[in-house]
Amino acid sequence: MAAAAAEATTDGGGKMIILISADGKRFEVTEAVASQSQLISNMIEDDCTENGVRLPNVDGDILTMVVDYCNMHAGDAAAAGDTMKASSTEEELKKFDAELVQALENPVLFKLILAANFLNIKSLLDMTCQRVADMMSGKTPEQMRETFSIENDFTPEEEAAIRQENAWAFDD
Amino acid sequence: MEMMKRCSDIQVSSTRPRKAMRIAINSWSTILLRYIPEDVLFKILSWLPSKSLIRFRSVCKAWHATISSSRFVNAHLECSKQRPSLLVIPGSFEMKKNGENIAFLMSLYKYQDPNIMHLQDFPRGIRKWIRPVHCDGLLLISTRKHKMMICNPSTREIVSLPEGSHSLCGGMGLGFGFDPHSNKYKVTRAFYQRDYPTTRQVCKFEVLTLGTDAWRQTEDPPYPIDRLTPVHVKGAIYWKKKAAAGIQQGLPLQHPRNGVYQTFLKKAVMDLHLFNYADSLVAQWRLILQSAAAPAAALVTALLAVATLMSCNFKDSADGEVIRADLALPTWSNDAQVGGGRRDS
Repeated sequence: MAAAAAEATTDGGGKMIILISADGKRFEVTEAVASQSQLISNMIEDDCTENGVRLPNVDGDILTMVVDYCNMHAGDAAAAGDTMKASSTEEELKKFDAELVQALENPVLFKLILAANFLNIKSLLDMTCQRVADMMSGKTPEQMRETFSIENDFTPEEEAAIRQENAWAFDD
Repeated sequence: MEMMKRCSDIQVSSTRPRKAMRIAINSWSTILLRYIPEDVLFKILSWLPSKSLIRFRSVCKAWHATISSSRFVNAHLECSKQRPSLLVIPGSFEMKKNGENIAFLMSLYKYQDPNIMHLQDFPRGIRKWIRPVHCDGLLLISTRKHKMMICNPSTREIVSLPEGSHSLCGGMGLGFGFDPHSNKYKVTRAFYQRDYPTTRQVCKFEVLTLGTDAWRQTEDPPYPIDRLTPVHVKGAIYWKKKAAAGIQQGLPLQHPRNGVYQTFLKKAVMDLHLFNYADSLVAQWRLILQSAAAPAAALVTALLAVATLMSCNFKDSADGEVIRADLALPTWSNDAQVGGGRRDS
C-alpha cells in the first residue's frame, strides 16, 4: 500500500507532499489527502512542506494505515490519479472504516490513536476512540484501574458512597 | 489477588464475544497505556455510554473529576449526538377488576433497531400527564395538575420543578429548550390569569431557568396561546396561537429572547402538530378538501401534510405547505408518546 501511495503522480493536478515516518519511510500524497490532517494542513498554509514532512512520532506501518485512511476519505482522491477507486461511496467508506478498526490488534489501535491525535485527523481520532470506548463500556472500575495502571486513591468509604449514589449502574 | 481472580474467572467462563474483548483489553501493554495523553483519554471517555461513565467515576479521583466536569459533559453530549437513539415513553392505566383506573404508569424505553430496551419506570404518582418534551436527552414531564419534573434517562435522575403561577386554563403545553445565549436550559410556560378590573382572561408567559428555583414572568405574548405543545428548535421555542374551535387557523409563534413573533402558516388546518425533526421545525396537519363533485354535501377529505417551516421563506408561499410530504415519521399506538432525541447526556 505504501508503494502504491508513493507511485502517485502529479499529472492529475494538485501538489504532492512527502511524508516521512519515524523509521524513514516516505509517502507521497496529494495536498488534498494530506490536509485532512490539521497539523499538515497548517504546515501547507505556512509553506513549510517543501522538503517533506518529518513525523518522528509515527512509525511507517502506522503511517501506511493513516495514508490509506486519508486516501480513502479524500473527496478528490481520483483527481490525483491515485490507484484508489475513483470515488468511494459512503457505504464503501463505512465498510472500509469498520474493517480498519475491527482488524486492529490493541497495541496497533492504540498507536493509531496517538498518530491521529498527533496529526490531528478528527474523523480518524473519533473512530478509533469510539472503538476503544466500545471495548471499555462493559468493564468494571477494577478492570479499568488494572488496564490503565491507575491507583485507587479513594478511601473505601468514599468509593462505597460513590457506588451507592448510582447502584443501578453497577448491575449487569 | 482479587483482581487476578476476576480475570481468570472471565477467561474460564468466556463464551460470548463481549467477554473475549474483556480479555483483550486486559492484555494491552500497560506500558503503552501509561503514555495516553490526558486529552486522548478525555476523548475516549467521551464516547462511553452514560452507564459506564457513572461506574467509572469510582475508578479514581482524577477520573471522577474529569467525568463530572461541565467541559466533559458538553463533549459527551456532542459525541452522543453522533449516535442518536430514540426514547419511547408509553403510558398506561392500571385497572381494577371492575375496570376502574387505579394508577397511571409510565415507563421509559430506549429504541435501538431492532430492540426495545426497558430503562426505568416513573414514580407511580404521576397522573394525567401532558405530552413530554425533550431537549438534549433531558425530558420534561408535566401533569395537568401543573406538576413538572425533569428526568435525565441516562443518569435516572428525576428533579421536581417549582410550581408555576396558577392558570385558569389547565393542560397547557410547556416549552423546554436550551438557550445558547445564557448557556442554560429553560422551561417556558404560558398561563391564563384574570385581569382586573376588566375580568378578562389574559395570557401570560413565565420562564424558569434550570438551576434556579423561581419562575420569572416575561413580556405578555401578543396573542393568546393554544394548548398545543410548543417545540424547541435551535434556541427558540415555537408556540401556536389560540384559534376558534374546530378548524384551526395555524399561527405558530416564536418566543425567543428578542420577542420576534412571526406567522408561518396561513391556511386553515386541522390537527396541527409541531415537531423538531433534525433541528428544523416541522409541522404536520390535515387539510380540509372540499369534494368538487358534491360541494353542497360538504364532503371533506383529510390529507396529511408535513412541512418544514424554514424561518422566512415560508412566510410568503401561501400554497407551499407540502414541502416534505414524503417524510416518514414513525407512527405509534395511541397511548405511546415519542420523547425522541438522544439519550446519553
